[in-house]
Amino acid sequence: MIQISRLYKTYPGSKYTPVDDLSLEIQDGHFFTLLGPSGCGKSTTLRCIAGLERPDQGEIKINGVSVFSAEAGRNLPPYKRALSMVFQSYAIWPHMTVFQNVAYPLKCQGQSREDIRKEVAWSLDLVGLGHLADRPAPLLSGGEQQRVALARAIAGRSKVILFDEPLSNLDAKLRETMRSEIRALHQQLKFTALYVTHDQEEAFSMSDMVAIMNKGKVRELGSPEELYTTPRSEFGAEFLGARTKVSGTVRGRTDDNLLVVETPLGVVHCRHFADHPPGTSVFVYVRQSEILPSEGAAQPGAPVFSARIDSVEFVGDTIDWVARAGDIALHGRSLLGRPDCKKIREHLNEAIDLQIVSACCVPST
Amino acid sequence: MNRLGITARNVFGNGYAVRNLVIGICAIIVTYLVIFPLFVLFNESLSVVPAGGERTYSLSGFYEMLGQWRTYRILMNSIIYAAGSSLVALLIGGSLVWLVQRTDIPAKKFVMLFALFPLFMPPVLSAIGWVLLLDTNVGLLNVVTQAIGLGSIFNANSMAGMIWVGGVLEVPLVFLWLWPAFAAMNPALEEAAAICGARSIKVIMTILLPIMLPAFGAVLLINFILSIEDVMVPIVLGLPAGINVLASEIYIAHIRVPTDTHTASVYSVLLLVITMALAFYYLRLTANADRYVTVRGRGFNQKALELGRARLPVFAGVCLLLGLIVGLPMFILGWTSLMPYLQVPSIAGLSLISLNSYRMLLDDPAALRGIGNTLIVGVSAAFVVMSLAVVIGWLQVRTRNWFSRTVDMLAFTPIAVPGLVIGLSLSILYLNVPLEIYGTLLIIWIAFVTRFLPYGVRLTYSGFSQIHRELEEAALISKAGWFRTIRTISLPLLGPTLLVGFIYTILRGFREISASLLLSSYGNEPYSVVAYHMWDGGEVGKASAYGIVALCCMVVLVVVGQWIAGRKVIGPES
Repeated sequence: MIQISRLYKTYPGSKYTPVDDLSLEIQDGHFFTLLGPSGCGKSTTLRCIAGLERPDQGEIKINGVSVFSAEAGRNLPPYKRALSMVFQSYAIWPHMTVFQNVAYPLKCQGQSREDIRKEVAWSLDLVGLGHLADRPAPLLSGGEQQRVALARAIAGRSKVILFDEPLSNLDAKLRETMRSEIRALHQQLKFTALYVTHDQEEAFSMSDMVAIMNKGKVRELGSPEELYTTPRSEFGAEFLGARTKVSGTVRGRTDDNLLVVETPLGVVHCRHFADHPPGTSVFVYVRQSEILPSEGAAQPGAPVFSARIDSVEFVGDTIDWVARAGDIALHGRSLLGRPDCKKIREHLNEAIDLQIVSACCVPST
Repeated sequence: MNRLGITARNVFGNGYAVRNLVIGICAIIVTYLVIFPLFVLFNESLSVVPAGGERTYSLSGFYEMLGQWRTYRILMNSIIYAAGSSLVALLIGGSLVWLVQRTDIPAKKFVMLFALFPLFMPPVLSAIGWVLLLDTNVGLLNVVTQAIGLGSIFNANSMAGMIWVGGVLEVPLVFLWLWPAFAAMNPALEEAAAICGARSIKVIMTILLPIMLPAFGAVLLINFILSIEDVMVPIVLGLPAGINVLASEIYIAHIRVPTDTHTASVYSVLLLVITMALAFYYLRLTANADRYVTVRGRGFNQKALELGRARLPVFAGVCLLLGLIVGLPMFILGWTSLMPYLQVPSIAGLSLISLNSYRMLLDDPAALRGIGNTLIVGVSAAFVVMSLAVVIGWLQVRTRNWFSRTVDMLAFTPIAVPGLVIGLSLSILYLNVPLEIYGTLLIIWIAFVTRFLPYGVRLTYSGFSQIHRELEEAALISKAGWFRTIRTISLPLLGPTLLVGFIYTILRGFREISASLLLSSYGNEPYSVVAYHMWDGGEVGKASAYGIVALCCMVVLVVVGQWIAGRKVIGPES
């Protein structure tokens, strides 16, 4: 388990705070991802846990061992922390062979020659590089370097492995393969993974838990599905792609635990993270797929209203369109070839009836 | 907040003990090497010690110096000599770099090698070579002009002679400094001008020169610093003609009997103030380089300017020039080393060729000792310089805070301190402390380490900049301690850079004279000092032979180093 409490990190001479009062708990065996835009502090957090940066305040415990504590003046160097790490640049040492790269941490731990040989063979086989053991590192492709980095990280059988944007330098196809391989390794070896990425798809497809960070703080925390369906902040809703934002007021609650929210477009039933009493001001967020040309009459909580299609953009499998109802911009997306797609295209620059079929809401700040 | 964690508790308490200890020791050594001698120098320049009396402090030494007309004449001489030779060096070196880099002149590699070749010849021997060429009586060039009826038109022992020789000696350095500036220039700028209809000459005058102006300015400045602190040309060429400059004045005060350390220190402070101010200005100029000089980095498709019909005549001109400034001094030294007595080269002279001078070298214990001393001191100084440089370079690249900046600045300071001033300061320091260092090899060693440290740091700095920090971090995460990380990851990756620094330092050891001239006494003279004494004692043939021997030593050293490192040791960075 990794416990982070009230962590602060600033750089001298910089006003910006990369880690700002951050507290997190990462359960054993979880695949935990820090997700956020670049500069949100996710990598700095990871480097603080690794011991590569020295935080200003707070405490970090790994498996019950306090590795950093500002109060106690303790800051264990990386080599005294029970973890391994996969770097963004892979950090494969160019003056060594594949075998030597993977064997390095084992050698530093003082394992016997025979143990090292076995362990390296085991981990190289796991990542599918058993046949490349003697190859000099500079002769590896990007994907192979990535696998060597993985083998090096698992070779010591660490209980905790940190991943610092490990896939960002690979091409799209390779990225997908490596994603499922890392996930499979995690299932098999049951280490605790702390993964840093700015790619939402990557985070959601791999993780048990995701923390979305912004400006040094955790804005959202939960399983991927929870985050997607019920974000708790404006930042989270927008970061995860909800494009239409309408302000409204809570009026009550339905039997199946949706909030009844009154908006200028009508009454919408919303998923929500926290309960809000009637009268609370909220923002209603509607995803592009949750807004459709109306097929008939309004249903309770799914209002129908008139809007004008302002623009239609051909994307590929889908078309993205923008409609306007009063001063509210509505962002929709329709599958190419479907009837509603045809309808939208026919009504460009004309009024049309639209329906919000579902939505979520977050408290307005 | 103390980010480096240099407090008693942190040094031993947090697992970075080895790292902090190593860094601390290096910082102390650098501080000692740089601060102490300068402090002693200032102290000496401000003290007045009447015979048998107490030491008192006053500015009287400076008042006295500034109250003499002589001082201003010397200062003027220094400035004329430094400015003149910097211009000569820039003019010759700049045109050579431009021709090699930007035009389709043939045999570029050959031109480059030839232009850099004088680096293998210790400056004291080059100066001697020029005297043998330009002397009013026996100078080869004057003999030639006399033969064609023009009379003796050259004079080595004149300001013009000093400027010429001083400038020519700096051509290889100008070549190395200007190379990256030309390489980094975006040829599109020239091409754009050409498309606008400008002719080649006009492109050079209106585009190339203005763009390169900051680079030229920087090179002029650093040349000026090197010339004004140069002691070799002023004492070999200047002193016989009574042309005194600041550097030779310090030297004379030092060798006067009894030694006039006070006067020497006062002049040294004056010289130091000048070089420090110029070095500071130089750093400011180059720090803002981005603003002036177009784009840095490489990757431009360098299209050579076609010289057309002028190609071969230009090449012939370059060959003639290189033959004059590189070939002739080497030739005359070689010739003189083979002659039983000093004489101008001639067909008749060929019959007199003998290896007598070389045989005399073998019989001269001082000559062998000089080379031995230089090798011992050079190799051990190189080892220490590169060790310190690794730690300081690491500190500067990996941790950027007030501490690393301070250490870096200290390690860089000797660049702006004339070798003569370092020599004087060290001699004052170690004559006054009860350690038996003065007169031993150790004091030469200290001078070498101090003088060559900045160049080592510059090398390791660029070396570490090219090693991604994650390579080191991955080792730390792999449970390697700091020292093991440096030993097994950083040093192997730095390998070639370290070897280059190592060999460069030994080469500098053979060339160094300004500090060791003041620090040598019987027994601890390094190569250049022995060579100067031979010349001073009239043993011209032996001195020439000694120069040829040094040349061979250095060429072998560099070729072997190049072979081991698998990359260029001397030459512009590719």
